Amino acid sequence: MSAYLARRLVRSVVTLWLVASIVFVAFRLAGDPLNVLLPDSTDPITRAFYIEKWGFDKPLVEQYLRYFYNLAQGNLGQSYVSGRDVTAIIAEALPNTLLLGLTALAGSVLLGVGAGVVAALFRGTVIDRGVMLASVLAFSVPDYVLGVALIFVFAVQWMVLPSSGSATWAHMILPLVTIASSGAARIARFARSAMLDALNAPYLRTARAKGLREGRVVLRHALRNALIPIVTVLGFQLGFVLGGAAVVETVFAWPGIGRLFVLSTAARDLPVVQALTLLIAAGVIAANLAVDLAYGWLDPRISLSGGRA
Amino acid sequence: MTALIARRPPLGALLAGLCLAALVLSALLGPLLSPYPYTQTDLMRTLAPPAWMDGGSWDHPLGTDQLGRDSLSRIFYSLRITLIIGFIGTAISAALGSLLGMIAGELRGWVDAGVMMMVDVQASLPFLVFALTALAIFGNGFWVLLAVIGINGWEGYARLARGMVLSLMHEDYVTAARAVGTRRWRLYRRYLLPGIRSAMIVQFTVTLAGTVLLESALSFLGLGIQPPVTSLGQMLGEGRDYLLFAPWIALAPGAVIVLLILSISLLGDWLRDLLDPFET
Amino acid sequence: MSDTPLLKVEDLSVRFHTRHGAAHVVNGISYDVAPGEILGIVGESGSGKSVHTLAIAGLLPGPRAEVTQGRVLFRGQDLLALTPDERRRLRGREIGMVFQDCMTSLNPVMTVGAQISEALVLRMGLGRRAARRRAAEILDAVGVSEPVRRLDDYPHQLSGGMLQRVGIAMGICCEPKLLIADEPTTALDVTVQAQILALIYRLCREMGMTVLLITHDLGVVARTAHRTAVMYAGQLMEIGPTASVFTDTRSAYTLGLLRSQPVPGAGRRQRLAQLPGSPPDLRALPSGDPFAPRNPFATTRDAAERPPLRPVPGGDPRHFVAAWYDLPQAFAAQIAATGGPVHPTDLRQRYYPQGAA
Ligand SMILES: Nc1ncnc2c1ncn2[C@@H]1O[C@H](COP(=O)(O)OP(=O)(O)OP(=O)(O)O)[C@@H](O)[C@H]1O
Ligand SMILES: [Mg+2]
Repeated sequence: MSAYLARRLVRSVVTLWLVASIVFVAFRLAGDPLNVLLPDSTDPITRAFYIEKWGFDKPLVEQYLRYFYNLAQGNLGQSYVSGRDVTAIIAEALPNTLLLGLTALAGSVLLGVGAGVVAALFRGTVIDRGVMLASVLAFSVPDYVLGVALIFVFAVQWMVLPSSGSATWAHMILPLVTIASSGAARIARFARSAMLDALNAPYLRTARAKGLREGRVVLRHALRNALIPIVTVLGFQLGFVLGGAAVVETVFAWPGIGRLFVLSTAARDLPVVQALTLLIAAGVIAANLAVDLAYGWLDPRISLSGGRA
Repeated sequence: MTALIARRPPLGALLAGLCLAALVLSALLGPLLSPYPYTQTDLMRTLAPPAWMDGGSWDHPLGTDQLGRDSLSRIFYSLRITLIIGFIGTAISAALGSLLGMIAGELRGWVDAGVMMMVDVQASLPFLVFALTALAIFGNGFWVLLAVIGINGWEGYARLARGMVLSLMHEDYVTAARAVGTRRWRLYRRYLLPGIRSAMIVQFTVTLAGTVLLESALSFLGLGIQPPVTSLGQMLGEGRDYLLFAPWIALAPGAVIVLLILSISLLGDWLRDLLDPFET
Repeated sequence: MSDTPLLKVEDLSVRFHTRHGAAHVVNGISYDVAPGEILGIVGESGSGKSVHTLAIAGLLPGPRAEVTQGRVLFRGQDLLALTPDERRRLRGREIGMVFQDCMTSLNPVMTVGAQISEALVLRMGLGRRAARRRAAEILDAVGVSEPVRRLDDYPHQLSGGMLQRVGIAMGICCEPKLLIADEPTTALDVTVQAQILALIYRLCREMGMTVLLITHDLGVVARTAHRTAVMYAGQLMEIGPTASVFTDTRSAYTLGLLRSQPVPGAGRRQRLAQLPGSPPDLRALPSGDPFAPRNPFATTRDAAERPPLRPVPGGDPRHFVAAWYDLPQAFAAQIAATGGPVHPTDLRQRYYPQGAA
């Protein structure tokens, strides 16, 4: 592994550690968590029981170390609300989010890259304008507005699709469209400009001067180069999907971690919130690391020079 | 390459500008234009449809909600709240981010490393996740909300300001100005701000759109602006439950949000093309 | 050299459609090039040197650029009448190109070997193995050391001089009849420059290749080109055997170019005459000689009417100039009147120290 990737790996770990520490500090800053968690009328014995149970009686340093020890063990504590293991709660919800999110991600990448590349190839024509207009529109309609509008049209007016829940595959359609559309819009804009850069690059003229067919010029030379910047946006995209899941899953009552997050926030179920925050941060950091790996693989200039030129 | 002057804004940007101006104006004049106080309920006329639908009347041009409150008045008011929070939040993050970025670029070393690590941390958390976590920990009071919204987007400004300071360090005229003992702050005002201004303006539109989206999303989820105060997102969230009988309650604020975001981002795109000499 | 030209450009004009109106970038240029000949093309920046070669190769950028008139006869066939696909087939095989900055004109994500083999496989029908072997041979021929190892290098791993050699290798790998070399040495330092030029010269002789050599460096042209064409504002100002153009200069523009160049080996303290003024706006060209406003010798007729390209009076019959004024005569008159400025004889010494051809 190159020095570059090693450095990125270290940086990712440090970032994750920082996120975890900030969460820890923030939790203590918020004051005595028991005041938040237990009704004011709780009797001292019960209070003491919970202090002991959640470890709030220990010195801060010990709590901090214990916190990381538990994290490393995958022991995320119990929900304040239901008392169940946070791990179990998340394990129930996560697959639903992954199913929805990854499908949407794949869809938006295919659609976005396709539309962006086509727009770049037909730059300045009706096709280009159409794609760009559609992308500006899709980009400007927030998930919650789009979700509500889709429910209104397809579930209320036409009654062809279910509005909420996760019982059948048909339940997936509206949330999928909602998540994928803004992602595709963002990717399309980015892919278009990356592709335009590549199409205007001097090396493309060189490829044409060799007498290569236009198809090969576009795919092998232009698209291959355009993919390098495009992968960066994919790293962001996972973050958007995970962040957006809170809204979309709430709109469609999809039982994933996003909805769990919102419900837990409303109930101030801190162990669950904490676990979800760390999980999502880890997901985004891992995605960015994967993007860096893809970068090194796509761009030969990286691995040797140890960084972007 | 092309001169900035002599470029007329394209139709889209023009329309966006007009639309945004109209929205800001109606937010400003909202109290004058509103037919009713936004909290006034009328239990005799709940869920009344907009004027142009069957059963609607011009008493309530956009209809009423489940408590008989006038939708139009509430939209004026919501727009006001949404825009105020949007601008304040964006201003806070611009000030915060630029300051941190400048300090980082100026002091280098550990301070710089620390600020850049925070930028990394921020970038690793989708902002809504950060906001939800903060609200869960600190409770969803108004000040917490404002702080969260004010933090949103700071890292963009920090990167920008830091990069600018670093690039200026090596400019001859800055070295010269330092040598004659020009004060730091004057130096920045003279050289840094002009260089950074256009990028800042573009960043401002991006952050403004992001801030409006964030506030609306939180309010939509019931975790942002709390009743009786209202915002566009909150109206949408409440109206969602009445999609079946009274879709206008949700659709009207939804349409306003879309118009707002659309015009901000179209204007932002145009500004970017206009101000960025390197973009084609 | 045989008499039938390999390439014959007739009255070629190219226009760019820009935001601010149509720019007349190439305006009715005509010349021909014999097989095996090196034609040097010089002119200030923006004079249309590159664009007209792109028009020849069919590589003008998209709908923005348009050939408005003229013919480009390549071995008797009008290229402009061909379909895009027919033109594509000529590129690489019949017409090779080398571009200025090989840092950017090579694909950064493909190995050098892959970029050369690509042309050999797709255009020459070689197998992968054979193509690779041939690519190494060509790299060797253009003076790349350790050619086999270089095949697996990416462009960023090579030095500027090596990249330019690779660029040339790509231009000649299919053994084209015509090579268009657009400022192939501009980005390089002087010693490498000389090596590359010697290489082009050698390839031209060994392969019987015809070369259009575009450059800003008159010294390069003087040493390499059989004939020299001088372009200004998309027009041909003067064309003829290099020695004649340099020593019997007939266009005031050519003279200005010659005087604005440093003399190799003359040390630092030479006085260079800047061409006064700037090139005309290509969107609003004057009706007369576009150089007339900057030209102290221009007559009223030059300002009013565009001079055609005509054989120079009393000179080499293959030497043509577009001017109504007669430069030697104008000089003689000026000397008679003022005892004044130096005749371009000093310029002969610059490039042809042994004396005129
Ligand atoms: N893609 C383009 N779009 C618009 N105008 C162009 C384009 N390419 C070239 N031009 C214009 O065409 C004119 C001639 O350009 P060209 O590149 O042929 O000049 P040149 O003689 O090769 O100059 P140089 O010595 O700098 O390479 C210039 O005025 C340039 O602005
Ligand atoms: Mg050129």
